[in-house]
Amino acid sequence: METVKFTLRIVRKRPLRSLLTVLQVALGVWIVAIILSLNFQASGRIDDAKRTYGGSLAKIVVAQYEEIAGYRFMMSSASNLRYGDLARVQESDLIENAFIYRDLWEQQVTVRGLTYLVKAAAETTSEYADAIGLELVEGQFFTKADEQQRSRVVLISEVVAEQLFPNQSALGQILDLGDFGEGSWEFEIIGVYKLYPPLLDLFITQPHLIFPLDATRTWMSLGDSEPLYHSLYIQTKPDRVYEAVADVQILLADRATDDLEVQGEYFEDSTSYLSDQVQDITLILGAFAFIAVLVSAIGILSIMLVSVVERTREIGLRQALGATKGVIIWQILNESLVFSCVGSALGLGAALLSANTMLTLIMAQATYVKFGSVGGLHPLAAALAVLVTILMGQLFGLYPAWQAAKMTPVEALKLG
Amino acid sequence: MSLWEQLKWSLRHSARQLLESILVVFAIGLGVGVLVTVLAMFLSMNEEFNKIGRIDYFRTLEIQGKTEAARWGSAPIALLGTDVSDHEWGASLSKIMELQQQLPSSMHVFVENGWAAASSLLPEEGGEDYYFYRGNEVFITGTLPEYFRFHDGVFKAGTYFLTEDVLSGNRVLVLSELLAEELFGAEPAVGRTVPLSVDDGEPLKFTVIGVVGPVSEDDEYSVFSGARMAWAPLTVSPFYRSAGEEANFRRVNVGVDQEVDLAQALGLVQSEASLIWGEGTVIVESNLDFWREATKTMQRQGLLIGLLASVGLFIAIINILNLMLARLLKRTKSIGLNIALGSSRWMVFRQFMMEAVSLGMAGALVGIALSFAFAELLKNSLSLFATAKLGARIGLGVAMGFVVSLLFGVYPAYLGSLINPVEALRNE
Repeated sequence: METVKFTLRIVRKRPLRSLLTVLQVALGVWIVAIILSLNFQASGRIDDAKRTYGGSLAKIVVAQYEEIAGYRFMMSSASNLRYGDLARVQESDLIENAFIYRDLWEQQVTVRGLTYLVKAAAETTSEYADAIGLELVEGQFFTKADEQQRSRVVLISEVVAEQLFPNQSALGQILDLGDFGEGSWEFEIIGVYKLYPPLLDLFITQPHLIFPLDATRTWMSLGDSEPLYHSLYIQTKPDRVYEAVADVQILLADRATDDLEVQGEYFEDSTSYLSDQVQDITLILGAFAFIAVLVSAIGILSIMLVSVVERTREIGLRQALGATKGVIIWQILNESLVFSCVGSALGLGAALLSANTMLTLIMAQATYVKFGSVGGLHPLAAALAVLVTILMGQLFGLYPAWQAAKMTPVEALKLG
Repeated sequence: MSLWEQLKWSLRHSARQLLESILVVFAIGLGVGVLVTVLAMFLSMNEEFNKIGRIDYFRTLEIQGKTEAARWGSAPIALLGTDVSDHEWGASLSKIMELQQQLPSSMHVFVENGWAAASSLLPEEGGEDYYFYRGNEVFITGTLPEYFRFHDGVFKAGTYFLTEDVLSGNRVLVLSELLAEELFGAEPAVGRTVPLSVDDGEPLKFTVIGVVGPVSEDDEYSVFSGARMAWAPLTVSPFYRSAGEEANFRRVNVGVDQEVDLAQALGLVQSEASLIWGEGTVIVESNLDFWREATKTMQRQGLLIGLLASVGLFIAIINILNLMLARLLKRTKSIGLNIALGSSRWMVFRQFMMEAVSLGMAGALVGIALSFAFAELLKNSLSLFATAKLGARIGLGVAMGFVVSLLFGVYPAYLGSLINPVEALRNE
């Protein structure tokens, strides 16, 4: 009680000084909380994505190797998968779903006489929607029958729907792909889907038009031979992705030859670069934050020193009246603790309000990856920021406290 | 009291509270150091960007069809219009030459059509650039004479080919300096023939008419500095030979000389091109836009990082303001005495400012020194280039120190000059 009164008296006597001290602590807490939150939230988003897709999603390709100067290099991947392989990989107990995915890169479509270029289009099989968890805004995905008959149906992304059919339903509308000597190619829109959840597009390109497999291929480009595909995706039982790929390598062993090899590509690999980037940003900004806290602790140290000198007389009197060194140290430390706590509360409040904006801003400027919402203040970050600030404040408060305690009452009263 | 004396007096004051002053100087130093490092880094990046902005690539305008432009744009869906046939936009050789005639001689219309060709004069193993050529291949750029009039290069021997060579499809070749050396060593290359074959076809004989190199050895951006590079008339390209008279090019470049304003050139090319290829079907796009966008992004990043980096300095300012106010409180009595003895208020103000500025400057010096250590750390841990010039760093540091001392010095100095001597002396 006595110590609290001691501190409150300072606040009443020197309001501006107390305010400034609290303010610098608050700034330090704010920046540490923001930057730690950035690290935790961004890594958290990456981990979330890894948990959702990483353990259960893999891309199967047939890699082409070439020997150069005695070493085998992977040069490219060959289109050497067939439609029947889809059923063959399902023989593995570990694989729940599989789909073939053919990137069309771009597609020209005509709607009501106006032609557009859509930059990312794809053809796939009916399992795709379930395997990646595609969310539909309206309509439905195409069926196995649509896929096998190469029905002229298409699903469009909400971005494309917004541009082509603003304020109206896109269902039942027709996309004209042009005339390839067989009359006009008209595809009926049967569904509109949401864009991928964050980070999935690092692994599978985000399409804006989805057609049934081979539905947009002309007879000319198909020819008489069986069509070949470049990649096939598998969705496995949770965390069994590596074993599942090993299964696929056995099941599709006939697709491999001397220089061709069936291989898996994993979600983890596509996010490692992003994880590194988040680490780098945290390291740089973390250094700024550390220096900010250091400066703020130095501030507490110097202002406590002043405060001790100002109260030399009071401290001397207390000692003369029987206060032990321990009590004096405790009083001075308590003062810096109060400043640290009030400052922390203020800083956390500011962080809580600004974290969302700051995090989104920093991630958008630094990574070019669509994170969606990165999230706000992370509880662990908040706790760490307060802990670091209070520890630093107390550590730096020790010196002035010790200075105060080592005064002898006679000296102190004489000097004062 | 002269300024010098005031400085001595304030230094003595600071020395009396040595620990306090050292802490303050260190705090400013940390704040200034971080900010100087960040600013220096962005200054040097900016300089690099400006250097890059002057190279030929960014002085080149591109004419392309709407589809091609949409393909390279960032929007997921782009409107092409009502009258889009399946046939994409393309420019024929005669139309390209027509455009050149309409433009002033400071603007150079050319196309680039590259291919790799093997030569029996080169060793089977030896090519190192996997993407352009392998083994005994040479990368040949099929182009027009304007290409050489636009790109700065030095002809070591001979010269480039002319429009007549292009029109009659003469098999002539300009070699890069390094390739000429690899093929013929010290012997003169001009007049020699080089057999070149594409896809294991029959070798065709090309006559060397020139050897070209970059203007200076360290010009890393020069198009003429490659090892296995050669240039030939566009019409001898395998692409052109198979397409014949109807050969169309999807991209036409217009190189603009340094002395011409790019925006003006853009307008001129736009209007001339639409006369030739029709209104609205042609888009002239400057590579410089990408560069501008990249520069802007970099500056936004710099601003953000700078803001975060300045939090430390801001805390330091609060910290010092606090300390100066405490010092003022302690010296109220002596200032009151000074004023009572006839010292002017202006003098008191100046005294306090002097103290603040000397602390700020000492902090700035520490900050500049620290910034070198920080830059070294950044270079080692993140391989960022933080190599701004010494002068820029010192300038930045000193300016920051000065601004900082103004920020924390003015208010306490102003308060000091307001002291009422009677009250100051009466109060304990």
